[in-house]
Amino acid sequence: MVTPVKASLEALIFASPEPLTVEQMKKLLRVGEEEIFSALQELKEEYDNRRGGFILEESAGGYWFRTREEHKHLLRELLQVTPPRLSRAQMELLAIIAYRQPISRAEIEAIRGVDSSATLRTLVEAGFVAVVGEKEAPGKPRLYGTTSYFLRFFGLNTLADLPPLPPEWQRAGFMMPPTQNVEGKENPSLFALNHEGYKKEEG
Amino acid sequence: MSSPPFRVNLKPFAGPLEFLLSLLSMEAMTPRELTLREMVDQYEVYLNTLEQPSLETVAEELVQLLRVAYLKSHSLLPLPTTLEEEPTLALLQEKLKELGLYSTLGELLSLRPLLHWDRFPRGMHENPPPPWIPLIPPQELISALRRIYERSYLSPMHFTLEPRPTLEEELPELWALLKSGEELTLPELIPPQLPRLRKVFRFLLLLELIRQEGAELLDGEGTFRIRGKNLTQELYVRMIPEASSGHAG
Repeated sequence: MVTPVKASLEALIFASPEPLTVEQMKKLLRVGEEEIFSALQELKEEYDNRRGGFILEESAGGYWFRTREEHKHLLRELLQVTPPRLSRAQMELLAIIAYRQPISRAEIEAIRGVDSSATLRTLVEAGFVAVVGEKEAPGKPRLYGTTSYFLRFFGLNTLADLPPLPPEWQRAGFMMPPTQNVEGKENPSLFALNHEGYKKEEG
Repeated sequence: MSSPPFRVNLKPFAGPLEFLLSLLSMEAMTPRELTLREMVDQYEVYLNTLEQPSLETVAEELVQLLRVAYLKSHSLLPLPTTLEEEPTLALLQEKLKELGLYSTLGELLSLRPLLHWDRFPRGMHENPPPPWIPLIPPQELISALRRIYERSYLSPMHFTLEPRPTLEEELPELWALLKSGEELTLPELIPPQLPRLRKVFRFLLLLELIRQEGAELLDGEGTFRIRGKNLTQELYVRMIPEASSGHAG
């Protein structure tokens, strides 16, 4: 049965150019979180069961419609997209930033052992990475973190959805980036951070 | 009874140097077992196996070579005398392992279904994919190119085997090809018989021409072609200010 909340939610998500967060839904519909989650769950099941051309997906802390992967070849042909290709060096750098954020350029270069300024600049220009703060250290070096576009691009909801670290590395003290789903924020991957040396954004 | 099956997990290696680095990080061999000559030879052999090496591949492989060379140089240093000097080879090997971890995680990440390629949201045209070629101001790139070729390590004195290419020599030839308006394959633009340094130089020039939309990349069946488009004298003059007339026509 289509309740008014469910129908409104469907319309909002359909028209939204970016993933719509639960906070935005609450503000627009003036209903409780529980009702929204229940309607979202019903909608998600309906689209999953229908086996149509698209599904409702949770991405970058919000919800949006996106096509099923089995139609990718048709869509590539229709939209004439150029395959986005990130080089091995770019993927390596992106992984370092994603798992170690917020991280300064000097720290990145200490891991990679090579100058990374050009690759870092490319990732910033492409929108995967952004400056998220300054380190409380001499010279106040910039700290880099991943953006909500990074989450959307790789189909991640939060940083917790990143590929897990191998157990031996976890035992050696390497940790997944801490994250919590901060609804309603511009960039959940940034605002969910609380590392040493990075001031968590308030409000 | 048949012997129990065993599983081999072999990571794909991009080249011999990456494999070598992996062996070093696993301590399966020591840098002392390597000779610098062999490493440089491996680099060259690998590049020669590539049919159409991109600048990116050449650069990445060079980084791997330098990493191996760095390890090798540490292995040749005298043993540390104080505790402060301790973290040398062992630390480098640890760092290599860590780098290997991020490399693997990066590969895993790139296997995920990607936006605008595997999964399409609504309103794609309102939110196009970001630019994939970094936007470097043309003058900055041209002066960087000039600086590279003016550096002492690439001067004719230090590079006697190959004549040093210049913009004045390379651009007119490339320009004439592109101005013909015909579709050209990469080997037509960068003939395989050209000396290595000229190939790299031409590749850089070509990148700049494409980036400035003076040439158009046409996606083909497993290949790509290049067609001259909107080539203006202004662009040519910007690239060779001192030879502004006579070639652009």
